[in-house]
Amino acid sequence: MSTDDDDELMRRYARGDMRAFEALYRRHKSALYRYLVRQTRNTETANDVFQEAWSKVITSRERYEPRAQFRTFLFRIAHNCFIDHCRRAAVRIESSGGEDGWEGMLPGSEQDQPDTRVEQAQLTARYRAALATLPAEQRDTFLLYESGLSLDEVASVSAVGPETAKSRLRYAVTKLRAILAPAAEAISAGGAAGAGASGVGSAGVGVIQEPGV
Amino acid sequence: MTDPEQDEVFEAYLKRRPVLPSLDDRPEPSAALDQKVMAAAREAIGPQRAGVDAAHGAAGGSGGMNRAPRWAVPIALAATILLSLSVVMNVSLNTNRPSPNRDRMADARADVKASAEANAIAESDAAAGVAARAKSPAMAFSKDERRESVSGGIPSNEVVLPGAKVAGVAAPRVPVEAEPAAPAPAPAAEAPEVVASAANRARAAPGAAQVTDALAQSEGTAAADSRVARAASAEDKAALFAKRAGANQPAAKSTAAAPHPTDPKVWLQQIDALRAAGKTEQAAAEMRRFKAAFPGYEVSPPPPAPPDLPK
Repeated sequence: MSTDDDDELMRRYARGDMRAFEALYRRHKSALYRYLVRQTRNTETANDVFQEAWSKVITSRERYEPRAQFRTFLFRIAHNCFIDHCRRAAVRIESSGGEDGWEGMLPGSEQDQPDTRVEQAQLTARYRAALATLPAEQRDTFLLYESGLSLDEVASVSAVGPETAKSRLRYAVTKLRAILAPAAEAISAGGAAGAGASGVGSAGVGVIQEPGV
Repeated sequence: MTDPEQDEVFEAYLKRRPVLPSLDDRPEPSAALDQKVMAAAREAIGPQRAGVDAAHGAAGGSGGMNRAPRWAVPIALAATILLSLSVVMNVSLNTNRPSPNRDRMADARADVKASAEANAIAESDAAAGVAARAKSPAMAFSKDERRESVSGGIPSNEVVLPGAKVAGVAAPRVPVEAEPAAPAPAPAAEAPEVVASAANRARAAPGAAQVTDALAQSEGTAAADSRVARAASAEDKAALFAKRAGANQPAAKSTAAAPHPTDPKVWLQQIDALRAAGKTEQAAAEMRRFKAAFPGYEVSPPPPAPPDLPK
């Protein structure tokens, strides 16, 4: 996927080429939707923001200028849409940390999963809980970075400097690791006892690894 | 103050190494959501899409890759305008410039006219009994000379006699080599000479047919018959020439007081011509001037008048 191709697709769509938009949508819909689902922690809200973001892309097709990558352009729109949505709903991002939204995105019912799946689900739930404890800026920076954007792109989307984005990301990673490390070690120890000496959960959930491992 | 261990963990994280458990949930937008977005996109470009789809259909559904680029239309317009301008310029330039065909047509017309003039001159010369003139290759005027006679150009070895031009007849050209010793006569003095020559030609016209016949026989050419026919018509032409020359005589008279010819023979011929024309007084005056100019020149007595003519 090249940026030039994205820009060309956007220009072609601006000229009325629907196939170009379809190609553009197929490329970026998954990453954007994942970011919004993790950001909103609610599929309904994520769907609304996702649709709104793409609608703004559609309406801004004539004014589009390839100053930055299309992905940055798209995530900035989604980021702003999410902020607008939070303001409209009077939702405090920091205090919204209910588990309701996350429950529906769990891999499946614990009754249908083996024991290892239960452990993975527990880790995932703990991960999401840890994310909810992060300040909004740090969580946003972390989720954008996890969506595949570079630090510069994250800074551009968040409208901050690269150093600010890097600092936010550092705090987010440190806090998440502090929260998740004991649980991960416990799971790792349990997984190792159950699945051998692989050191990795059988469900494929990555465990916290020390640098250099 | 940061912990070195945390710094190492963060640096590893920035290098996309797994330092945190990954969220392996991979949520995807539903098909309904995809359709909503696509519908919105399609609706937004509705008016444009008809044209694009038509272009795709014409291109065989190649996904718009064969669509003409945006610069194609201006470039095509510019090329069309440039081509049209060049064609118009070329046509206008060729219209103002004489074409080779036109030159060829002008040459042909000049040839026809020059040959007609040459015929007239040759016939009048033949009628006047001038052997040199009759033998001169009047019919064989070179193409260049004919062209010059039409275009007004004068060959370097000929001099057009001013004032001797008769209406409808080209001015006779006298080769300069014909009189190398004599200085070029003054224009005003030449007019009477030409008039006299024309009168002589008119008088000699009745014998023109015989002269031409003799020439034709001597040459032994197959064109003898045609020349005879032309000589017969030359009588009329010579008469017309003399008549027109006579019409110009008043102008010549006005210049008669001008310097006389330097050649006494020519002068005497003029005087004879005046006598023949019945202008005895003028001929006597000219003779007096001649005798004053050439006192030692022996002049043969004038032929006696016919006895039947009244004195």
